[in-house]
Amino acid sequence: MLAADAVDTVVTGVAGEPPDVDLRQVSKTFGAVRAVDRVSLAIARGEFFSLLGPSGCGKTTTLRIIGGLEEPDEGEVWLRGQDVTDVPPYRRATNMVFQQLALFPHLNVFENIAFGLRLRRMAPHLVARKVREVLELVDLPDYGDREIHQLSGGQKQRVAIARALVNEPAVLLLDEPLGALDLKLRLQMQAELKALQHRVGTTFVYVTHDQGEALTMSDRIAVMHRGRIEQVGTSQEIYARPRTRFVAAFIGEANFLEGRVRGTDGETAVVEAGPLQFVATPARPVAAGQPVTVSLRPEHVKLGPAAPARNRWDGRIVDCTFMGPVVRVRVQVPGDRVLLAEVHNDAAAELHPGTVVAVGWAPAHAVVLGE
Amino acid sequence: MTTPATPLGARPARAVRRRARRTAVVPLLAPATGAFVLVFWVCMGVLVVMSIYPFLAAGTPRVTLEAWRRFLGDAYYWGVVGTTLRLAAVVTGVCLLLGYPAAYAIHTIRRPGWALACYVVLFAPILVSVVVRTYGWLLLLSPTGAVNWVLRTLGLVREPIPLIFNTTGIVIAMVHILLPFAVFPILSVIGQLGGDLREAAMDLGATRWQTFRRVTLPLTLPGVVAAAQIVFTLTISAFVTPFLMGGGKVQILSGLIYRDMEAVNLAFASVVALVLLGLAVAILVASNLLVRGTYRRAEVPV
Repeated sequence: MLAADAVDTVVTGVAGEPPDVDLRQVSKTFGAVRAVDRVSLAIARGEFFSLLGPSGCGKTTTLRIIGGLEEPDEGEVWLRGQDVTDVPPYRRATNMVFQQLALFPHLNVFENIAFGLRLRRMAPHLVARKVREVLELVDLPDYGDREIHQLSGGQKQRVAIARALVNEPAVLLLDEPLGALDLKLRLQMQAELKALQHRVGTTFVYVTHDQGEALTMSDRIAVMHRGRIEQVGTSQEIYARPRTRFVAAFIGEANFLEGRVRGTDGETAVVEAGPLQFVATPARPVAAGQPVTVSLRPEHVKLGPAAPARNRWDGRIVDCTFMGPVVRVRVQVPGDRVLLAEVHNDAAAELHPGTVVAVGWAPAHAVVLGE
Repeated sequence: MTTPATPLGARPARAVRRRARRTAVVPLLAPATGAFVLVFWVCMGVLVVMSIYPFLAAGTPRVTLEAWRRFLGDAYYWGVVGTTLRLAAVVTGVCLLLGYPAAYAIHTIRRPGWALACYVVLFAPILVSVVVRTYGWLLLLSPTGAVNWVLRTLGLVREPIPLIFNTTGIVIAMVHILLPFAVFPILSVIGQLGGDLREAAMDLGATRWQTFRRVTLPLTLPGVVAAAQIVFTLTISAFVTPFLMGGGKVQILSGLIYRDMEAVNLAFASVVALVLLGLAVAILVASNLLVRGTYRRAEVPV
């Protein structure tokens, strides 16, 4: 099963050191809904790790289980080599940045950030110094005396991150923290958050439903669907080598071709989909005769002279949509299939509906999914 | 449209309409304002006049501070003021101690059926007359009543303990009657408090108790103060329950008013009524001032 495969995923980081976060076959059921289904994950120290999936896929529940705000029905949670499954949230070395931020409205910025330090009975002059340092880190120096309601959305965001980071957690958990911000501020905060993580070196576990956000920020991504992990990998791996149809469709766009394996030499496989017979790259071992789905990104469908010599057919253009830098072309290939192609607008001058063009793709870009 | 088509002509018409919209509030406000001014402020004026110029009393009326002098110069009446304030303080304290946990518990109930049941249990007594409820307490708490019977049957006491015609009885009945007025303001404030604030506190290292003390309590304090103000003012002005449960043995300000009204000593009754009003206003203003400085931030919506 795919969820079990995630355990085998190579963990980056110092050899011999236990992973910062280690989930072992964790499950959680709410009523009749299995929110998290046998999830296993190992997250190395210093990683920016994203849990990505549509709403209701169990990513937030997984995050809350790591933070101890939710108790798993089954499985174990390990932090830095220690079993913390039964440890309450206030004794875990994790801190959370909440989706609604959850800043304390009756405390000012300084007291919000000092909240965790004061609970640990830290000396007042140390508290003052650490709060000052973290405020500088999030680029809000001299904001200590402000009230929460005097801050803008982006400033509240930074205070929430500072309030969690000041406790120097082993793992910082972020639950869609940028969801409430407008697009421009969001892009800016993405870059800042990534830079911040780089500076402090803390392990970040980041929950998001925005695939663009996950792709740009993460060292590794776990794509979740219906409580299970579909695939774990770097942004490039997940985009270029989706393992399931769900991953291929959720991350970016894809054409899907259903067919049957004619033959394989281990590295590549020949797939027959109706009258189309082409060379593709399997995401996992396949055998001849096996029915498969092949995923093909629109930008990898080449038209005209750009089409490679192999995997090449004549197609008829159905329509073209101008999108700015790219033009999206729907093209009909043999077997009455319509494929979506994305070409740069300077290469699209010759393309008109009704004309016949060469259509093709490189074998490396046709990925045989593991279903 | 009857408005002239010229752009200049449109302006006065619009201004008229705008003025009409603004004056539309007058007929809406008039009945309530009129009734309030008549019933409250005019009567208040009559009360003040009566306390120094008893025009309804026998004999020729004349301006005199006799009633005020009698009240303020007599230690007995100061004692009554003290009893009234003490009683109100105890009832308020007990109501808050019982009401806060109750409100908190009701807030945490997830199942709508159970929450509804709690509301019914808590608030249904309001529908029953205060007189009926007070007589109920008299029966329960009397020396031959159910409470003393249970205590004696269990061997906890040998002689029935006096629970009526004293302050204890008044407090028990008053707490029962006023508890919903304490629960409701607290409940509404707790309801506005997001659950994620509590989670955030626990995530930052606060135990349940620390979370309550540092987050939940300060944020719900405005509701607690509102509840205290309501219960306190209702207690110091309550008459029926203290009168019946006290059995004439406990004298409070409202009882004095009743006594002097019966004796047609209207000047003195007016003085006591004004003192009572003054106390209520003073307590409200003082508690508001006290809270405003400390917890201004807590009233800012999350």
